[in-house]
Amino acid sequence: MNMKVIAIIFALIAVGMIFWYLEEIRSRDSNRGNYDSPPTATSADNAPLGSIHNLPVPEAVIQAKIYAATNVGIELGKIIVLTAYEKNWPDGCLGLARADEFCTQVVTPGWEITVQAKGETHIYRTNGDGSVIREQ
Amino acid sequence: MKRKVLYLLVVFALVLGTVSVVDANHSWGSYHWARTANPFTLKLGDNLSPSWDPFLRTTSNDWSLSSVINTTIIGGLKNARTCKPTLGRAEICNYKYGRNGWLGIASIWVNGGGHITQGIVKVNDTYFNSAPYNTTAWKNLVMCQEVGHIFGLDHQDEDFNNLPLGTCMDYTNDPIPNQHPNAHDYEMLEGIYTHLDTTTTLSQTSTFPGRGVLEPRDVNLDEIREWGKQIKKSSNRRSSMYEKDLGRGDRVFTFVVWADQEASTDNRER
Repeated sequence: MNMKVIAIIFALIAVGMIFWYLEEIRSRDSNRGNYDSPPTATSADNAPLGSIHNLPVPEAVIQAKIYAATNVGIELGKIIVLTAYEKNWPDGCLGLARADEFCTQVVTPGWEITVQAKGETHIYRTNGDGSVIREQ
Repeated sequence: MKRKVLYLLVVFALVLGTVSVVDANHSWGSYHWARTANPFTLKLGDNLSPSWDPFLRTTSNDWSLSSVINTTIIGGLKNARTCKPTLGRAEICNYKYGRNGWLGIASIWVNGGGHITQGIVKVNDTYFNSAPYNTTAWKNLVMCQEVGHIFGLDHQDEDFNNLPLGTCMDYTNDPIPNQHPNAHDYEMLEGIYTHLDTTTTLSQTSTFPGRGVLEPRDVNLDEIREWGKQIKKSSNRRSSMYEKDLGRGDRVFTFVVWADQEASTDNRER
């Protein structure tokens, strides 16, 4: 086989790869992002402490993040707190009594914290310092 | 000579197989919007309360100075609390998200080809409603930075204590010199968007048919601004009916009986 034939074969392969590459990109883009899927990235992922994406937060919020990271099995910096609101829970079980559970009948100040972890949303109720956490 | 030609063809073929489309040193994971021409226009859905509108306008004007990007602000379709994304554009929302640790956050969705398909920016009024963040400088910095992320830009610098770089893409303790993009940000955008794609992930219309339009579950009827346009009111002004168009022919009607005349008057004038 002479060199001219080999060169033509390589040229055809190269042209084929160009078309394959363009088609691959086209087919990927035609499968647009899922409306209900989690984001691929957020600007708060692993943001350094003190930055506009990672300001100091109340102890209960820190504890909820640790709880979520441990349960879901991802690094703490990948836990995104969507919302964190102060709440008064109706009892010592944070309004989430289990079957046959006795709960102190006293209003308990705490937090309702919604986190996003591995694409899932979890809502936690905590007491004031986050030493008690229950998933809603 | 023939052998040299052969080697060149082999190298050419290998390069094609591993082509890299982005070469930028503070791009965000090489993510970028797919588009077939430059400059391209990204729609920013305004789901903001009126006090935030000037900051979005400033940010939109700033980033549109880029040679590769234009932004246009269009009406939002979203509940600012949930701020769900719309394919092909960015939704910009403000709300009191609580003491969650962020002044602002940008989220992007990327398809298998590495192209951004949708994005959201949320700014947190829990912090912006009080000192030290209730200033023009902080609001400009955060809005500018989060929208910059939506284009695929990362931070230029993550050292809080060095001299400000004069860009909103700088982590800093001093927002005043960092309220707008700088020349390097525009250069980075040119680097990210030099190449063209064979398709686009940008919205070509205001909504995508059947998807990306407002769903009834997205409407938060606790918010008066979510009720839409007032279409009827009683002669004594004690009751009103509002209509919100969700797209696709879907509408939500809200019937209100006002507790007192003053409330009715206030809301007619909003």
